[in-house]
Amino acid sequence: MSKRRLLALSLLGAAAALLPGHSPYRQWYVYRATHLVVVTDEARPGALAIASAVASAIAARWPQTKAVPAAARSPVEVVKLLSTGQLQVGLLPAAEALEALEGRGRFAEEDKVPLRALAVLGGDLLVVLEGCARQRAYDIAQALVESREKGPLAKKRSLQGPAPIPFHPGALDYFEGRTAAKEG
Amino acid sequence: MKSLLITAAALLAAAGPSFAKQVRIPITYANDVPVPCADDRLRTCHNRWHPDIPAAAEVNSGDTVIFETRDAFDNPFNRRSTPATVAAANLNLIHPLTGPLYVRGAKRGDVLAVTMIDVGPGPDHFGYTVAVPGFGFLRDVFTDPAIVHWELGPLESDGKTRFATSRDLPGVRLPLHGFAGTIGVELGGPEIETAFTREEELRAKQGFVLPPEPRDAVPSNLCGPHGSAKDRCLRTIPPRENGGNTDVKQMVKGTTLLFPCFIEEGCGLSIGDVHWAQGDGEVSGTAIEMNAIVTVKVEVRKGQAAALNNWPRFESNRAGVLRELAPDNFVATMGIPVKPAGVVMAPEHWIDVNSAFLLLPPLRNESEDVTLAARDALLKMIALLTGPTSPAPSPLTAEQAYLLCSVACDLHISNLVDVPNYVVSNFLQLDVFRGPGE
Repeated sequence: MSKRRLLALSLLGAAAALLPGHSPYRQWYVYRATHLVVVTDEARPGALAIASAVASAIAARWPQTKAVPAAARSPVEVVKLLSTGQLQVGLLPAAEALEALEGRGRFAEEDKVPLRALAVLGGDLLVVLEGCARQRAYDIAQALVESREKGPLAKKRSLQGPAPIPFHPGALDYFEGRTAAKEG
Repeated sequence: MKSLLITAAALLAAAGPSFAKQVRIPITYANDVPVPCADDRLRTCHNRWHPDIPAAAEVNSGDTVIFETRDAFDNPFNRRSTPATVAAANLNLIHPLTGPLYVRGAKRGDVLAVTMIDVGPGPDHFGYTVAVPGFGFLRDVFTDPAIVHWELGPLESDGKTRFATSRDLPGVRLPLHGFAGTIGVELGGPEIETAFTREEELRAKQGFVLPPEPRDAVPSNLCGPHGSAKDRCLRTIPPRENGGNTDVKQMVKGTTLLFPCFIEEGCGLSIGDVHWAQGDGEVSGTAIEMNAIVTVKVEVRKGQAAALNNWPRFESNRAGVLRELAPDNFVATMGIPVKPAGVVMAPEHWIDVNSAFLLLPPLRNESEDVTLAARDALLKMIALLTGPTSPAPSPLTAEQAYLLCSVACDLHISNLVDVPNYVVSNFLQLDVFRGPGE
């Protein structure tokens, strides 16, 4: 099975999995499952530009993801959107990603959120939930490294860290030269 | 002495209205924008329905109450927002409501009469209309997020008119016809169970139903992930026996809304999701959404819920109360249940998966289908607004036309008898094209 086919199937699988259950607007979930939404917060100057570059890089490498950027009100909202399964990929300041992982600071009132890093982008981390499919994490890491976008994405070596939270195994597979796992 | 006290009490009761007072239910602002519902230490906000939500204020029958309210999405959007902001909307926050209001003397079986006295914008004077992907009547046609920003203007020189204008819709202006998109009372325990059960049955059949969602629910100690009633705090999206998210644009000032009381005491009135203006249909899923100040008068009508069959109504005997809503300089399109072969409307997906007619042939004409007729009328209006004979100062994009229709076009059922082609008409008041240009 081709990698593109596999990615398309994983997207469809994610959409199907999101249809039942806790689904505030199932149709919205179809949109959010058929578009890879890279969400950051609008409070920090420049954050949306980085998220846009990330989305462009992913869409260039994997057009079927229809990757788009999105801007939430604050890092807390970004974490909420990820932890509630409304969106899958977030861009957060590294320190806030760690606080969300450990359930402290601005995130003390929430449960700990099992965030995993896909890449380091300057002072930010591109993150997903621990349960993100390994193949998807691999593909996103690959898209960033192979991207011709400028800015933080141009610093290829720094994408691999170090990061204050664990990397997702799929991203590590790519960075460490292993073949992508076939399952999440 | 005792008889004197009783007489005095009776006189006070008889003179009730003259002792009526005005009560304000405040919310907290930061730079004229309400803080998020969950963060408001005044605890006057909630975003789920449940009878155990603590009262935000107490009043007597006959009192006037001023509700300060948040917009439908809990203020994720502002004048700088883009479609990217819409894509990140947290849908678990819908709808933040101010209340519930405890009305002394109101008991289960009574009716709470709520007379709309005034509806105006909040201190930020900002509104928005969005197309939320996957939501809205034409969600299969308009699949990407979009936003129109509105400036909510001051009183005109006539002392009574106000207009909303938008940089995103040059040449358009919409007068203030404010109403509460969501206004209702708390459901009682039995009604919660009835609604929950029937909605679960529908959800099991793949209906477009939103189950209880503890995440981001307010109050969190009752409705949140660790709340004692997390599985029975109902979402506010569907209107129910308690009113709620009815989005009836005719509920303007001068009308009286009648709600059956379902909880043992207080009735529990809440208001939010206020609209500056809306078309009948609210087709994109949103009107001109705004933070607002809503003034109402509440009166208890004892024992009258049964006379309403325990369902809300609204009424008015004030001459001309809806006159300003009636189009008098308009263009209207007419729709019938026709479509291109093979097109399946978004609402039909549910019918398809639950119907013996799953494999309907690709008909171009359906029978007695009001929904399809409404869609046809709406698509025809969008075609008009985007075409060479558009009444707009310049032809609109399809997206602009869709969002304009959501706030300014009125879909009316014209006939339900002329089989198979029922007719729905779509009215657009042409005076909306008197706004400032680019």
